[in-house]
Amino acid sequence: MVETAPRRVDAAADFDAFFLEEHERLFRALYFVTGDRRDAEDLMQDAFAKLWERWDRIGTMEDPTGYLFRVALNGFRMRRRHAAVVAAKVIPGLEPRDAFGDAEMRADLRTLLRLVTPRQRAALLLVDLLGYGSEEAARILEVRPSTVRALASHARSTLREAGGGDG
Amino acid sequence: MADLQEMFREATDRVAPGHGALDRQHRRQRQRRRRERGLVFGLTAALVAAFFAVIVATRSSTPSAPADHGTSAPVVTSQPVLEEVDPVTGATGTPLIREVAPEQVDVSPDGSHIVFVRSRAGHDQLFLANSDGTEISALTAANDVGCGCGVHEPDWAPDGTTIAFRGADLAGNQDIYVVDVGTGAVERITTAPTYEGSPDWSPDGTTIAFTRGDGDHPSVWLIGAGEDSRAVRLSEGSAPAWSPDGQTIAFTRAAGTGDGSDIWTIATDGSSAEELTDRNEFDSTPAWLPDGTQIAFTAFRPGDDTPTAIAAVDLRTRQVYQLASGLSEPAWTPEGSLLAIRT
Repeated sequence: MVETAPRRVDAAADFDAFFLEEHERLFRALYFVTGDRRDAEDLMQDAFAKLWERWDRIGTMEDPTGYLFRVALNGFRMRRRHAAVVAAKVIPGLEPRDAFGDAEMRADLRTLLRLVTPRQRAALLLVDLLGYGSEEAARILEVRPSTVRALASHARSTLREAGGGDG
Repeated sequence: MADLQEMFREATDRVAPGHGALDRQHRRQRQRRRRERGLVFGLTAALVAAFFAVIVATRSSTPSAPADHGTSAPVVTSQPVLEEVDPVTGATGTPLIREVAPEQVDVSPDGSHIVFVRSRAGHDQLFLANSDGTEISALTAANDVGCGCGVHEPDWAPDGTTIAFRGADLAGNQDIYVVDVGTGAVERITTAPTYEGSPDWSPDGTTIAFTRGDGDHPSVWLIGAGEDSRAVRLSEGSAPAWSPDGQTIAFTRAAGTGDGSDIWTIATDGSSAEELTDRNEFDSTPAWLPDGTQIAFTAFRPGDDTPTAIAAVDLRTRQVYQLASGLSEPAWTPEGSLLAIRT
């Protein structure tokens, strides 16, 4: 009993340090996918909360950050499935929140990002920005690897065509 | 793709979680812990209740009674299906109707037919089926209503001859329409430029309650089913459901603070508004048990991975209990059977 409390305090401090180190990067990633600050923060909090519940094991993992991103994007996938149906019932007739409506960014960039769906942005984030293989990205988004490749590829060509980038 | 890195940086450079992120995180963790404790308590209570229910059922059943209630596993499917739910045990059986849209269904007043929504040529349309799920036929077609972009939220009139629903005109404006079940003729009931949806007939068939969209604050309105009727606002809220005795309307209302929504009731003269649920969840789509003693509804917990569930509130005790997980859109048959959508 004497040892338990300090160990818990250490774990809490350790977790807080991990949060402070990683939360901004995760928030930006989730914002890129969802296009909404509130959704990004909500998903981020949920992901960290889940890690905290198993922090005794996760805190000692080789790559807790990778695990964090996996949990967060898995949450994004689950949330999309349920929330779209339910939210429409609570405030019917409203359009979904304007993606990147609260963004401070160039108007042309905002327009460009809206051409790509959240699922495509999630695939781009995982494969091109975070460097996951399509197998791992497919497990996170619960689709086939070929679907991840198609989502990312479609997003790339949309951005390339609309943005005139060289890719 | 160097451009993508640049795009990501530019798109997210000026967003940040802001001050107090760690404090908010701690708060979220405390909330989850409290909720989990509540869930453990609820599960324990449910298990104890189920144990006694099984003992009572075993003692009172005859030797020939079927014994498979409560043992059927949920059906895993990618398309939403309509299922019949045992309102006592929450057990479901074989899907009644496959490939339904995840929204309101309704049963004809004589219990013989079900109206539901299914996608047809890319747009949602109303379909009819026998109450056992057989003999499915289309009731509406693309060119029946304005924009041809689909119709939703059917509600069977108490005389059984017509069904009210939500459709959109050529400009995409959502309104209440009524279709004649026998002839398929469609009549428009509301014409305002605002959103109108989720119609619900009064038990005497004279009035339709519906939701009118007012930005973030939708409200429940009443309109006479006849021609030239003027709509009257009843309360802030949405998804109205008329009580079987015609005296009260249950509806969904966004929570005053924070996320979520609650189930409310109000007398049809606008008095006696009462909040029945207050649980930091999205409680929506109320449906009255035919004897008027309970209201079932769809429950969804925001910020969680758990699926939607059907819960019910007992109007005598105000007690809320969960009926079945993974389901939404409760609808009662006149005999008191419960139908719901598994997504």
